Amino acid sequence: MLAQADNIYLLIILSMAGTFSMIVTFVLIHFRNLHKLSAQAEQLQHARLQYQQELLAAVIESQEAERRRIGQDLHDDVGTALSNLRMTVELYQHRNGSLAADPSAFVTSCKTIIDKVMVEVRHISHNLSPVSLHLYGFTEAVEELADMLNNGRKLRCRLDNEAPALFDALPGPRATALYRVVEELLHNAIKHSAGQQVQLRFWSEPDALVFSYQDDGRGMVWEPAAKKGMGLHNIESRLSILHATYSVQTAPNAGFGIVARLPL
Amino acid sequence: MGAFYVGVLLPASVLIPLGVGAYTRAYAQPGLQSIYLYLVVGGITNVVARAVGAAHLNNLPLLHIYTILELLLLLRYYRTLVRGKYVVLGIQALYWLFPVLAVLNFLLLQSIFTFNSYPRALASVIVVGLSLHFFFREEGSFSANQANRWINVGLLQYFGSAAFMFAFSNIIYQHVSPQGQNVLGITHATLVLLMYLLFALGFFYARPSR
Repeated sequence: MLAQADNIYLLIILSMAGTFSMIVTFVLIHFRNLHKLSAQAEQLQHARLQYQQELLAAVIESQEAERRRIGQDLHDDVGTALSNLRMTVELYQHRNGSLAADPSAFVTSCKTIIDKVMVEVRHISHNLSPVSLHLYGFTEAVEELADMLNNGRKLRCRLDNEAPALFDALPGPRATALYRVVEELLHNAIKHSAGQQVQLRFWSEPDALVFSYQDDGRGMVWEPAAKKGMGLHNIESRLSILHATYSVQTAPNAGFGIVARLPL
Repeated sequence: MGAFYVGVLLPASVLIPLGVGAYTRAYAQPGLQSIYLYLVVGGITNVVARAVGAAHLNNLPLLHIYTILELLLLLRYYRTLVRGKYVVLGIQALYWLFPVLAVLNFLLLQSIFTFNSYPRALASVIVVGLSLHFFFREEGSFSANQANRWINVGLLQYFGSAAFMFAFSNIIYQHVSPQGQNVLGITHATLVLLMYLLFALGFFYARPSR
């Protein structure tokens, strides 16, 4: 009887010790996992924050570059043309005093300079805000971009828009953001791709408007987390403003392609 | 030494979490209030049980009542802590079901003057289950929800480890030698003390941030 009682006592102590050990082990493993998850979440948050900062820096940098370019255009083109105009007027006044001046040549010269100033101002204002986008809609504005590219000798652009009405119906800020993405991609194609063909496609799906770009240029090594140029940052930031999801297909010497889906 | 540890030190140790909880005002927080009340009820029951025992009277009827109060307070705590339709429904059902089962137990199955091994073991399993549910559903950063985490470690280690003792308490009383009962008493007291210290740690983390 005593032996049986001692055994029960021992068994209960052992059971309690075993259960206690299992609980301690469970708690330790749980805490370690929680620590790991916590560290991963912190890392992710840090990466997200860094990405946002990089995006913001790219936006600021691109704004500054745009201002520099406008300043330079005004100084080099408009400023120079206006100086010419002033010199022409001064020359005419000077000649009027001594030598016989030709009024019709003076008027022609002035008109030519004024026309040049008007063209330059129109060019600058078009760059600042694409007039055709506001006047004729997204489809027309993108066609204009494609025509501009085709008028040059470097690249041929094929444009295929299967849902012009839907793209034209995009609200102003969204249409401008998408237009800027297309513009930036074409600009990158001219500047970096060294390719000969560019294809732009626009179509609709039940829940999204889809846009794709493909060139046959030199391509690049694409790492989503790697540091990118300002142009690609601009594209990413504008797509994120549009709440668009996108995928990039590129490899060295295999061209560059992007497909973006804008939720409806 | 064992008698001092089990009879004096352990009942007095309940003042540690109660003191920390009073300092951090944990008793004013909806979920922790139930744990604070559980400690108050446990402390008072312990003192009364010692007094009744000292008068050479059977104090086990107190344990039957205490088991019901204990689980009701812990269910109240988990009601504020856990999410999920079925778990909440289960807790609400247990509010009514467990007291009925515990009363039926001492009316029909186990005398009120013996250990209530069935309801006490059942209560342990319920608390262990709810505590594990809390851990499995826990998410977010390690620094968040520290108070409830430590309180659940305390509940899990105590109810999980002592479940065997609760289940076999009548057998222990009948068959284990006085020395063996003494060792088990000290082991149980240590588990309770550990739970109180973990509660104190939980209450410490419950202090409002400045």
